[in-house]
Amino acid sequence: MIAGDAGNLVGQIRRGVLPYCVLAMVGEKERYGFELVHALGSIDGMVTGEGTIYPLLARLRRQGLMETTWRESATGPPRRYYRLAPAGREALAEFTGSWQRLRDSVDDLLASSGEDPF
Amino acid sequence: MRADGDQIVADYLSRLRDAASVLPADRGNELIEEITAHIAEARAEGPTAIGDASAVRNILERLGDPADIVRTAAEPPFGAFSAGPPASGFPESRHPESRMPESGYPGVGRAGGGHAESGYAGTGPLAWPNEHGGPGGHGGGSGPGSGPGGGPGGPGGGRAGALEITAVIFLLIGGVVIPFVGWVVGVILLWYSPRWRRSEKLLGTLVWPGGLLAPVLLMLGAGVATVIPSSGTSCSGGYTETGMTSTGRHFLRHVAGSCSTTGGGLPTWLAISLTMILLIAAIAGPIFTAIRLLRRAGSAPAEPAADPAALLPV
Repeated sequence: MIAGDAGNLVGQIRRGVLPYCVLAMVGEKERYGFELVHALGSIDGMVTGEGTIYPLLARLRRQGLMETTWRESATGPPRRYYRLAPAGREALAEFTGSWQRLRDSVDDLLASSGEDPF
Repeated sequence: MRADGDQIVADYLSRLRDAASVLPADRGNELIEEITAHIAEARAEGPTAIGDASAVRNILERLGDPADIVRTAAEPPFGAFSAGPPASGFPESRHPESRMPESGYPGVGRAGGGHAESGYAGTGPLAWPNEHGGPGGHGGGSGPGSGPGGGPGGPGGGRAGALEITAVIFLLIGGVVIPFVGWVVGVILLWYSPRWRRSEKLLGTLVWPGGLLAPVLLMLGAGVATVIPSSGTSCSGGYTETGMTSTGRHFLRHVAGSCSTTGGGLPTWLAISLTMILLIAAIAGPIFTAIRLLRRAGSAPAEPAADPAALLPV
């Protein structure tokens, strides 16, 4: 480990959790591609380029983690709406548990880093 | 100002198309379609007061460089860029087989397994199973129509769905098989499908009503016309007169037959030319429409009815 590596590590963590964030976003309600991408792009530091989310959406769809439905749009081409598939729900639930445990553990360790552990 | 914005978008999409040429055609088309729709949506909802060109630049900046987008699409998810070791010090995946490149798209990726700076893809603690559905995946979804491995252009790619294909077939020849009614079925399916824009549905309905029924009838008509001469051509046959002269001699006289063209006033060559033009238009119209509809439905890819699904290993 070298000093200054944390930024890179955070970037990797962010990329790792992004698919689960997408699953979480469509878990609440179904959303269409632009809506989803725009919302993710608006979260500070979540993605470096909105366009790169589309390949991720396609991948999650192909893996059966999200289901899609086409709906006509009054203003333009038909929109593809995404919603969570049962397999995606399962994966998200599993990740949520793991993430919360990891996050709490790291938070505790960081909070106690300045204190005398004994 | 709008024209400037259009030109900027056209340049961007052109770069995206070039970059996407390394992807399998269906995935490349799908990506281009998604990005095109994204830009249209963003432009439709964005503020126009600041000038379209700058608004468009902002949209494209947020989207990112086309090369980065395509690289993200081509890279194996969370995996190594090559079959080599992972670039970071993360523990090995529980699915080592999934570290194989997903399909080896040429010309994409970064040599040496460096860190991905674009988008979400990169090395990480999670390695996703090969998305083409190798046998390692668990979870539902595998079924008929999803061959093992899939390969480039595999499931969920740019193909029209069964409904769309049926609609186009009925539009084309439904009216010939079940006169007119078959075409009406095609129109109903056309309007029922959500894959097409309203303008495309209108095109499908209006070019031409009945589909290929009209040219078939036209050809039948032309066939009949050659058997039964029409268009006012009348002929009088020749005949033979017999009689007796004043001198008491018998005579035999032949009166030749003659034909004359009346009515219509169209020379034969012109009539044939017009019929041919009509016939070509009657055939080309529905075929052009059918191709266009299938392309549109194909670029808005079919739902993966039976994808080889693979769960995220967590």
